[in-house]
Amino acid sequence: MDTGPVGTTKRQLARVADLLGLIERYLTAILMIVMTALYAFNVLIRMVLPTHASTFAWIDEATRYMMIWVVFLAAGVTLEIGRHVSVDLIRPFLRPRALTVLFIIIDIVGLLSSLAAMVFSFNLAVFVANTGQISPTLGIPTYVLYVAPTLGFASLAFRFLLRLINIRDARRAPVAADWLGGVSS
Amino acid sequence: MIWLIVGIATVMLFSGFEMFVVLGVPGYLIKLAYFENLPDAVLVQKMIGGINHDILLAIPFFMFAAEMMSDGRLAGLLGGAAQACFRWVRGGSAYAAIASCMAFGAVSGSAPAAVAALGRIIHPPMIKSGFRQEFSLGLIVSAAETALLIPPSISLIIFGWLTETSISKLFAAGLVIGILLGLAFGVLVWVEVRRRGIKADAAAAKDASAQVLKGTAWALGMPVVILGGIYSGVFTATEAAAVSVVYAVFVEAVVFRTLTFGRFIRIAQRTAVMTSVIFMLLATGSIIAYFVIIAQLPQAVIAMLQAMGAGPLLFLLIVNIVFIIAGMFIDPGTAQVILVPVLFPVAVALGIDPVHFGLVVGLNVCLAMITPPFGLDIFVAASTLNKPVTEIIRGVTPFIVVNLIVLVIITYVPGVATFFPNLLTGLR
Repeated sequence: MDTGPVGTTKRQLARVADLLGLIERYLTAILMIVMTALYAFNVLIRMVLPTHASTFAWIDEATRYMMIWVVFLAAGVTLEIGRHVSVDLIRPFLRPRALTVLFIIIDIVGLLSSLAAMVFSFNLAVFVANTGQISPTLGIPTYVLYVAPTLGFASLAFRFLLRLINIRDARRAPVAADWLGGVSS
Repeated sequence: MIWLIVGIATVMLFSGFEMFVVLGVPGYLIKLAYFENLPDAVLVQKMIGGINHDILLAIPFFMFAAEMMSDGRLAGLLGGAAQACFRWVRGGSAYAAIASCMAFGAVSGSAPAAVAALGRIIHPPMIKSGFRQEFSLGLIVSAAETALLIPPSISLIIFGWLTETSISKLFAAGLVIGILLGLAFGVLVWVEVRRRGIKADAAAAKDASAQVLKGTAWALGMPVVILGGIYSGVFTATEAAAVSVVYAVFVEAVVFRTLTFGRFIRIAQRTAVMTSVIFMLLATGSIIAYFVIIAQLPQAVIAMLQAMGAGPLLFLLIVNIVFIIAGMFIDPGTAQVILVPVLFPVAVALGIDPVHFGLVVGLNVCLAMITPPFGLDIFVAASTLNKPVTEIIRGVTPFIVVNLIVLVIITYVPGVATFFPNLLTGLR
């Protein structure tokens, strides 16, 4: 175990990751459930009370917004537990030192590209916010859509940074995720 | 310049970068090199625009329902019921394995999930009735593929979204070909049973209790809701997906009484993670697809084929070879996201039916799950059954051959894929 000031900082970062992960997981779970319930409700209305269907036309847009938020809010935690798709073709053939170097390169590229994507998303969100564009049926500002990738890539950048300094590296040791359980792949 | 970027992307791919980085970074490099005036924000716009579709909502919904069903008693029920049905047949445990994988596929669209959920239930009876370890492992890994074809099928939804092909037609064709593939594996079992003199073992599975059958009936109500709803014209695929979640909640909470609030939240979290995995690919893949279209890459391929004097037959052969090689190394979702935007316009230009092409791609996606060195199903089986990868690869080889034969049939007899969807559309 690390000791001294570096170890303390690492432990604090790990705690931040835990807290962030907890928030992301519960927010995405709630979004998943609400999104499904709304969509199913919409189907029900259309079948039972077709004359009222237009009252709930906003649901269509709302569920798509929620899906996009789910995707980006879950992206960081998905990286932390090592679930994002990657191809490990050359990994088994590398010596430990070379592997370490490769991991560092991957994490730096991941960190920088996530930061860039975060900035692009933020700029787009600000640009759209300034146009004052409102979504057609939902009636909320369209920029909300671009806040999702801004936060998502920020969270991804944070996870790449953690991996870079050897915290929560699912490639080296499985990251505890009891909440995941089950047989999902 | 473009070859440098493709080179960088290839190196990133094989050195184990996260796939969304592999797709996103070259996308940005292409923009820098060729479309300097394009604002950076366009890339984000393409990413979001790419996944902001009603059809794609079907993916998280179907996964949510499948997670709920397969996390509970479903696998055990399906395995038990199938074994009871086939217990009088010689080598019945193997036919039961195929049948339970197909039934599982009618609830879930994921082959690795089928291997993980069913593997431990269907492997021991097969060993007990005298099948070789290798054969049993190969069968489990391969039969799970049918889950990818039998609706709801995530890979067919992705194809439908990439190409704007009707999901309900793709599902109808997937159902036929999923069953065909199951039957083809059944033939292999029949041969093995005769070669090894395997007997029926009526005493092995007596689990046909009323409870098991009732449970199975509830589970199989799901495909009835999904397919019945879609083909009677009551639901779109996405609506059917949302309704299937409601059905799954009802079965798990009211009928089986196994759904606690905590479990419900965990399943939702897990579905969110799985959604993020697929959609980060689709989102970053949209950037690449955008450049593929403005660079007129499909037109270049068409011109090249015309120069070679190649018709649809040769083109489909090339498609199969490209997908098989890609499938050996990269994950099938990525292969679809990269290859379909280039190849689909070519297929249409050559007069190939979109549904037919979709199923050729779909079957290749299946094959990619079981082809070494990197078939995902192989690794899932190795870890859930705790068996060496080499043994599974030996066992899966005859099934790959059968799979290739089916692929050739689908490729060169378009009617196999298009007959049923056309019939259904004709009826309405």
